[in-house]
Amino acid sequence: MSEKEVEAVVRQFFDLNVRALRGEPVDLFTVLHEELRWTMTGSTPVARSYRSLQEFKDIIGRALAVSFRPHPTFGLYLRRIIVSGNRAAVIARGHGETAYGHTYNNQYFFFMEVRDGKIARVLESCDGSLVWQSVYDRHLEPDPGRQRPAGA
Amino acid sequence: MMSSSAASVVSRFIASVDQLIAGVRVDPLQYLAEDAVLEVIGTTPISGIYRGREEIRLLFGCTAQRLIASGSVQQFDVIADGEEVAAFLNIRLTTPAGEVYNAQVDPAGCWFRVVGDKLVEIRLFPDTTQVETQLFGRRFVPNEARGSQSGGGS
Repeated sequence: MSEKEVEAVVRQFFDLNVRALRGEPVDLFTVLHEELRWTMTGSTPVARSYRSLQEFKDIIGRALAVSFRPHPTFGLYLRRIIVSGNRAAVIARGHGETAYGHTYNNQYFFFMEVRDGKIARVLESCDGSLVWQSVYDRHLEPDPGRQRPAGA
Repeated sequence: MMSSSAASVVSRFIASVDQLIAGVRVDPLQYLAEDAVLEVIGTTPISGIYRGREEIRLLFGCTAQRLIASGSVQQFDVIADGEEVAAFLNIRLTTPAGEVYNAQVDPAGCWFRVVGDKLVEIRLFPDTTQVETQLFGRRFVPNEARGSQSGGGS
């Protein structure tokens, strides 16, 4: 595949994501490879490596469906992209509202690898603290079990 | 197209940060343009946009120095095109109190823009959960518990 084709596949994923979060009946997973390996970095409850498209659908597909409310302006918006060979790096903004009614305005960083015309590997970083607070309805408090830095 | 020069500036900068954290007397800010912008994503106490090398040195650098006793920053993977470089970094830090940020050494994304041989933009995606818990000694508490706690939220 050319780099233009790789970029088109990646952009299609984000376009489908926006349409899905707006409530359109599209299949977000059509551009993902059957042998998908998606790693969510960080320390949230969903941070781990998903080792197949089916596993990703079962866990993340369900989590997205119950965690976010659809709205015409919601979505995962691609902001910047670099493509090199069959790999792409992306900065994206996720905008939505969670099931708890919290505004969700996250920043994402992705590495993606395209194989057979589909996204086969993904490494994802985002603001996990926001995920805890808005998706899991938590707030931050001083932890009595930990020493805080001076002035914090 | 892979841009080896931009990527090599980023590699030298990351190596310099790693050396500084290890206690070597180096100045990673020498790789930054005078008007470089650093953004640390999220809403943690170190999150925000730092404009200019001096603001990065005085505000972000001094805070980081107070929070970090030791650690390492290693480049894990990189994609570059022209003046833009996207890297995944393995960052592991230990605070003066012995708390460890990112003990599992999960990669953190970082986006750079390089003009000439200087970094003009750095956008860091740290594990903000670990920043709050390990570096700032806070915890995430379910909202239904708010009010039953003595101090309330922060």
